[in-house]
Amino acid sequence: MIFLQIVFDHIDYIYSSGTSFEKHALKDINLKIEKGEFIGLIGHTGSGKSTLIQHMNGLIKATSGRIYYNGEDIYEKNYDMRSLRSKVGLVFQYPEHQLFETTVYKDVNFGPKNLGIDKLEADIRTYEALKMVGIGEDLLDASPFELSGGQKRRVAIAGILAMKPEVLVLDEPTAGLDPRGRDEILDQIASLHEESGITVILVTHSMEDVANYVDRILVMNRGSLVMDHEPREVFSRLKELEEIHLAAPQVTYVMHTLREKGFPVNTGVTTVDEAKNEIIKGLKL
Amino acid sequence: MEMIKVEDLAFEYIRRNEEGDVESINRAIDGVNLNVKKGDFIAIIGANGSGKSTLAKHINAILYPSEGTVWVNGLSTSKEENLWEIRRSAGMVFQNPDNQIIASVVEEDVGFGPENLGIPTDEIWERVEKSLEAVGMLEYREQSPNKLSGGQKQRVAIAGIMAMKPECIVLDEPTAMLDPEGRKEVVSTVHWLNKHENITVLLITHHMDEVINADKVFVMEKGKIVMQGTPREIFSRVDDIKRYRLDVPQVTELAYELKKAGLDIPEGILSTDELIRVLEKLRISQ
Repeated sequence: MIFLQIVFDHIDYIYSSGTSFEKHALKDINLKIEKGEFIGLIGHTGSGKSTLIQHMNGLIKATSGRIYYNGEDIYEKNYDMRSLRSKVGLVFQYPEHQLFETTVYKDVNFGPKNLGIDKLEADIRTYEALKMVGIGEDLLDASPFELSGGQKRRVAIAGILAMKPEVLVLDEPTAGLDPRGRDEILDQIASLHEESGITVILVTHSMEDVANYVDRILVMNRGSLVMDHEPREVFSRLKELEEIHLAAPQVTYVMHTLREKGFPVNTGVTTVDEAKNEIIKGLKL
Repeated sequence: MEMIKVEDLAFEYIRRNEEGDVESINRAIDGVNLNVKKGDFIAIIGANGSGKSTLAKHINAILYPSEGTVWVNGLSTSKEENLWEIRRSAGMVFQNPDNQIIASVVEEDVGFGPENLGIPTDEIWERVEKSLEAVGMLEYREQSPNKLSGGQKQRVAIAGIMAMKPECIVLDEPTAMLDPEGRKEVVSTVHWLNKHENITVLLITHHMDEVINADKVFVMEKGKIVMQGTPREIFSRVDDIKRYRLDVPQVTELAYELKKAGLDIPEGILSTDELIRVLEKLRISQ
C-alpha cells in the first residue's frame, strides 16, 4: 500500500504582500511524497527550493493551500506543530555554523534533551546518531570546533538525527567539502536511507550527486514545480533544463553528442558506469 | 618576472591556554615552495584542512610566515611597510558573496577600494566603470547588491578588486556557494581577466571541472605541495588524485574507466569534445 507522508495541495506563498517587495515565491505547488523515498530537489538560486522545504516542517506558513503530514492537515487549529518539527528534520546550509556546545557529545545531545525526552533515551539516541554518521567514540569529548569540515558537518547532521525524524531534509549538505568528503556524506545518507527507511530530500546544485543517489527529482523554476520524474527522464530533457539555467551531468552530454554523431548509444545515461557500458556496447556494433 | 614567490614557507597556528602557555601547535603549512609567473592562471586543489586557504592568506598578507618568505611582486610580506602595496596588487575573493559586499549600491561598493587608496574622484568613477564592464556587470551599476544572484555578487566583488588595479587576484573557493550557472559566470570572468587584462590568477576550488583550463595545478596535502603540473598531467594520475581525497572531472573518469576496460584511449582526457574525437577515431579504425 502506498503511504503518503507529505502532501502539498495547491500551495502558494507570497511574501511582503502589498509592498513593492512583494514576491510570489511558490506558485500552486502540488506534491505527494511517499514514506521512504529518496528525492533530489534542484533549481537555480532563488527558484524557491529553500522556501519549499521550510513549508515541510511548518517554519513558513503558506499563503494559501493545504499541507498534510501523515494524513493530517498541519494548518488545523490543534495540530501539534512542535512535534512536526521533530518529525521533519531540516539540515540547513553550512549546519556546522550552528554547532555551539563544548563537546561533540553535548552538541548532539542538545536536541533530544530539548524535546523533553528522558536522559537515558536521549543518551541512547545521541550514541546512535553519531554512529549513523560515522563519528567514532574517540571524538565524543572533542570540541566540535577542532574537527575537519566534513566531520563538523556530520556532527551537525547527527544533531538532527538524534531527534529521530521520519523525514530528513538536507539543504546543500556537500557545499564546501572536498570531493572525498562529499562522497562520504552522501554515502552515509544513502546507507541511512537504506537501513532505516527514512525519507530523504536532498537539495543540491550538483547534478552529478542527484544522478548518482536519488530515485526521483523535483525541479523548481521561479516558484513553480516544473518537473517531477526519475533522474533519467529529467536529464533527457537537456534543452528544457538549460532554459531554466540548469544542466545535466557531464556524461549525459557525452552520450547526447555521441548519438548526434551516429553512435548507437542510449542517451538516457546519468552515471559514469552506465556511460561506460553504453559506449562499449555502441562501439562493438 | 615572478608575481608570487614562496620560499620554504611554514605557518603554525599556535593555541594558548588562559595563562598564555602554548597548548598545541598545528603546522598548517609545512615547507612550501612555489613560483607564479606574471599572467599565469594557477589552480590549487586539496582536501579540507590541507592548507590551501592558509597559503592564500599569505599572499594577501593576512597571515605572515612563521618560517620562510613570501614575495608578492618582489615585496616581502613580512615587512610592514609593504602591506598596502601588497594588498593593492594582490586582491582576494572569498567564498561567501554576502560577506564581501558592504555598500547599498553596486557602483559604490566597487568604488570603495580605490576611494580608500585616496584616488581622485574622477578617476574612481572611471575605474568603477571599467571594472564593472570587465566583469560584465555594468548594467547593474545603480542596483542594490541584495537583488543580485550569487554569481553576480561574486563578479561585483571581483570588480571591486579590479578597481584597485591589481596585478593578481587570489580566489578562495569563490564558487562553493553558487549554482551551476553562477559557477560558470565566475570562472569565465576570471579567465577573461587573465587573458585580456593579464591578471595573474590563483584559484582555490573543490570543483575539478574549474581547473581544467588552468596553466598549472598545485595539489596540497597536510601543508605540503604533493603534486604539480598541467591539468592533463595531474588528472592523468587518477589513483593519486583520489588518494588525496580529490576527484577528476566526470568525463576524465569516464575516459579512464573506458581505458581500463581495454579501449585504446590516451590518459588525461579533460573535455567532452576530446573524448568524442577519440571515440570517433576508434570507431573509424574498427
